[in-house]
Amino acid sequence: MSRLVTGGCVLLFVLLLALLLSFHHAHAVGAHTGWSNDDIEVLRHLRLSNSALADKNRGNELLFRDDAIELGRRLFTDTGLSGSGQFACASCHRPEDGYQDTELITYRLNPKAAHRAPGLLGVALQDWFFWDGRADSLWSQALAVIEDPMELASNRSQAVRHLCTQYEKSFPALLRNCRALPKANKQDIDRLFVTLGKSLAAFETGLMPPATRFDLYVDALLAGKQDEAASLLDAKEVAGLKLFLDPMIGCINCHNGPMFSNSGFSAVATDAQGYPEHDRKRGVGLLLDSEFNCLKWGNPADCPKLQYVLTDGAETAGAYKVPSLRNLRHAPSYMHDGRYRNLEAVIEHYRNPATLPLRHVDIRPAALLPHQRKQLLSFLKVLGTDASNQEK
Amino acid sequence: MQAKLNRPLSSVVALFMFCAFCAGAHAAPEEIVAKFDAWPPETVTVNQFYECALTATDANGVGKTGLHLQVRGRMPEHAHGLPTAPQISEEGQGRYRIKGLSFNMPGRWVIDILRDDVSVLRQELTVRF
Repeated sequence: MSRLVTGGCVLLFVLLLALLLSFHHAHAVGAHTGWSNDDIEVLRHLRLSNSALADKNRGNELLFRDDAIELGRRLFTDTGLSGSGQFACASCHRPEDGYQDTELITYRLNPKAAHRAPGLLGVALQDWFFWDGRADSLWSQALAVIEDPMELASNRSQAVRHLCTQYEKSFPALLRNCRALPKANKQDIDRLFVTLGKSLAAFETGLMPPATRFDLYVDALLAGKQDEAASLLDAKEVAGLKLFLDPMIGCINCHNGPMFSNSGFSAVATDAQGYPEHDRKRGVGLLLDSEFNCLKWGNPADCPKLQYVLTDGAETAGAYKVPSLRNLRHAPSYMHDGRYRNLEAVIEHYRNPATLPLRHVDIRPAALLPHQRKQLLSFLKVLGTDASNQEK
Repeated sequence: MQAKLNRPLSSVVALFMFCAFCAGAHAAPEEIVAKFDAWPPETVTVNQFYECALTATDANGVGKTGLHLQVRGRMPEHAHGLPTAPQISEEGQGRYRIKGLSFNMPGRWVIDILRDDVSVLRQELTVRF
């Protein structure tokens, strides 16, 4: 009997010790233990910045012109750009929801649509546009949407006629080519159509994501203000950030840079039941054929991305653009085909990606314990929240 | 009957000997010595374009022209290669220029210069943010 009691006591002691150690471990991971110099450099690299805007939009000479920005602002909500006259860019890229489609209007507009309209905050910092990267500039992306029969379903002649009729008087300097419209040839129409696209892009370039508590945290660290930093992210969020930065977990390998995207394409085992025909392999073919790609409509010196574009190989099949993580707020679904309805499911996907036999994927399963998944989730939520918003 | 049976057999033997002769006659490609000219730089960062030059010579140090070279890059710890398709152009006297190198992920990369699918030059580098 006494042996039984002793055994029970030992077992209880071991259990208590294990509990104590696990609590201590969880606390230690989340504690503000400081960062190495290398870590600080990575954090600086992730801090929100618009310094690359001009470089990434070299082909758009209207980028910072006030009249082009104003014209773009009006065009963005102009239903006259659609074939039916019922839809504008803003119908799906809803300004009140971070310029993304939270109501799944994209699908109501076209039940066969492969993708939901994504958020546009920070869009001008991207290298490629659409999930398959079939546009290499923001302005040519806008033009493709106008002429896509599955989207705004108009055409350039109609769009340019509308542009000149509605806006020539208000924007004479931008639209002086409208005077040639009655006798316009294809080249005249194309030039005006490009002006339309570049004006929309000029407006969209101003749509930047808000600074988040993460950005303020990095600022505080860079300024050596440890106490202030500690007040900005709690221990769980810092633990999530550390997991995010861990190359063995893998998030940081693709979601890096100020927009938390490396502007590349990755095969993350999402084509198994999705739409492989919309992958980068297809997109790069469309890009090379596009009459508005950088090499066909711009200065070749501005086009290294296109000049050295990867056109084939395992890296393009089943690969989709790495999305920004600064547009997660209010997102109703995730991944290119919207297969997941919450971030927990996304994390679970990366923990256990379902791959097809003989199919190339760029990721390996991320070893995340249940409490680590919660920590990572809490950090991802920080990225989607304006720092001035008190909700956590 | 025996002669008829032997005829296909002798044909196979002759074919085999012919193939062996051809394989022996196919000389191994002349060895070349290739090296990068001052590359990689001290710091290589993600999502920048890099170009570099290499010199290929024979065993006597004479520049080899007209080589068909290709670039292959990969991350050994990951399952993918370069995000771009770099191009190699010849500058004469055994000098070749590579443009369009870019790395979209931090970590260890291995660059191979291939001649007829065989690596003649390998360079490891660490890419940082």
